[in-house]
Amino acid sequence: MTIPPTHSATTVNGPTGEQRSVLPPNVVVEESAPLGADGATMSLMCVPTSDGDLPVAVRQWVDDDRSLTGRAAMWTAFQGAHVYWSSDRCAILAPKERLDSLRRVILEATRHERELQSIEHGVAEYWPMIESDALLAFAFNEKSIARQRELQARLQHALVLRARLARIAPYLLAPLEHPPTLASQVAERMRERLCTASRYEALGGQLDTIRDTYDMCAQRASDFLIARTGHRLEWVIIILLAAQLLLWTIEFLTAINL
Amino acid sequence: MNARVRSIDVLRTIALVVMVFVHFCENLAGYTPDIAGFGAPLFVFLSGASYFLWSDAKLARGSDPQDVSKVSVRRGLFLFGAGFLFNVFIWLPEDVFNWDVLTFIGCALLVLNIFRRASVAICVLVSVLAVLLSPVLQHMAGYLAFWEQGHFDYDWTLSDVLVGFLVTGYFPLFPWLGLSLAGYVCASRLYARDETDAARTRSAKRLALIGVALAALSVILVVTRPGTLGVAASRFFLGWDLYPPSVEYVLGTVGMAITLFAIGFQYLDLRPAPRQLDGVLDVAESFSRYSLTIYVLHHLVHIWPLWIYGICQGEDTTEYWQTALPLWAASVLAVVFLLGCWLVFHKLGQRRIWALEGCMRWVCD
Repeated sequence: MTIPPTHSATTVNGPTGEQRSVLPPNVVVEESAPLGADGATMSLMCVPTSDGDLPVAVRQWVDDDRSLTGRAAMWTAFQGAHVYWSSDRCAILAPKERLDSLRRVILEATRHERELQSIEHGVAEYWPMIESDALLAFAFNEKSIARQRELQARLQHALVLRARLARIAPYLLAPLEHPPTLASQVAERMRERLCTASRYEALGGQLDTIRDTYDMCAQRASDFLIARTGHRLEWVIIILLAAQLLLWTIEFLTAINL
Repeated sequence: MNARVRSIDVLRTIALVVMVFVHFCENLAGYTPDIAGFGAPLFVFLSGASYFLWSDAKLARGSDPQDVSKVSVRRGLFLFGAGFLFNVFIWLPEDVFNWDVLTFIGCALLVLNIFRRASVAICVLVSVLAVLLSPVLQHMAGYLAFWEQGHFDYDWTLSDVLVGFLVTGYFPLFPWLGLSLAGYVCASRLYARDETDAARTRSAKRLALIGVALAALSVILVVTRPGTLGVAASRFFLGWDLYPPSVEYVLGTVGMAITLFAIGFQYLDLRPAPRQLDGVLDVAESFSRYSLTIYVLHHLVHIWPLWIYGICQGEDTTEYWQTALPLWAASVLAVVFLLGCWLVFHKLGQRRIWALEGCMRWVCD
């Protein structure tokens, strides 16, 4: 995720405030702030301040996040509060009485962002597989039976991804609260910067394509297996009839000397 | 894997050598060697395996399945016709309907062409039924009534001819169809195109075990036969016998063929054969390439002189049947024939000649 041009690194480093190389006093750093019930955590730095600047040391702390891997962290400033965010680390600079609500908003946004990223990675893994599996959506044969379990697992995984996306949809598509609060506005700004609505829409389309493909494969496989069982039964009946006919023929031929 | 399947070449050569020795010794000297009855089942089993390899290769080269069927039918009918000609010219016209190996293989090709489209389970079912039904059919047909002094003796009636074709001839459809289908199924397991070498090795081991189990079952049935009473002994388990082909005999020979096939595949096809075997494989290739021709030829060279000499002596054609030569002379002749075949066919190599195989390809393909 990239910082929009208006909030580029140079702007942040601008000459308006004092650039401090040490962390401000009263800083609270939570190394493992819990994101949810699944045990996921993030590092959170809460700085109670009314100062309108984002100290260099704070920026440096967030930029040191290893999960960034080349991407810039996202900066949001709103009504004197600063949020400098990456998916593993976040610094919140705000008046003390607002820190708690902002902390909750950031944890929620991070949880949903990670979930969204995880679904995107899951979907990205499907495209090379779709190339080879799409053939089976048209024709399924004896040799494809070995791949049936694989296809089944892929369809199941696609459905799970779809369900996970549906579960976070209420957050991703949440309307603006009224009356607005600082927390709700920061949450809205986060959603906007992270483009959650458009990513949700794109993911929905991609997952529909994947589900449709594997749905067709499943249908073809099912049709083939049903037909195969039917054919086998037909063969067995034919063979039994042939055996009976054979016995009758031998009996007939030995009975009358043609 | 090579274009030629070395294990099949070797096994087919073994089958040919056994048949040549047995036929020379039996027909010229009246002596039946202990190896009698092992060559023909192997030959029939390999015909099924070869049909799978041939049809699979055709389909893999993009041939239309319908064209493969048409060529299969033509080849089957060609061999069926060649079998009749063989019977007329070798065994003389009165034995035209004795249903020898060639007519059986021709007919088996027609049947295999039908089961080519069926699943392995169906092929196995038909193969098992062909073996298990044959004692019942033999009993119903009165098998022994068709055989006199070890020879198939039929009346020239439609019912005798048809019963001979199905049950009572030298190589009737039942139970020999079981061996052809077994060969086809085994080859489809071992030479499946999409399988990995590891999977093929597993299949080979499984087949070898099945083969050994069938052979062991046959031995148990033969050994315990004296203790078997009633219908089972009189109709189903007749002991080790080629005429009529008993359940024990068929189980034993099919078990032997499956085991040899699996071992041959494992040691000759799946991995490079040892260089010391190059000479043997070269001989095997020459024999296997012209197996049908050698089968016809070996009858021609030892049966015709017998007939001709009989006529020249003013006797019946069969006067010197089984009494013409002492055993050692018949054995030497068999060796000389095999050496002659190797020299001629090795010299010819892959050149297209008008042998039976070349004629079949020219007419049918």
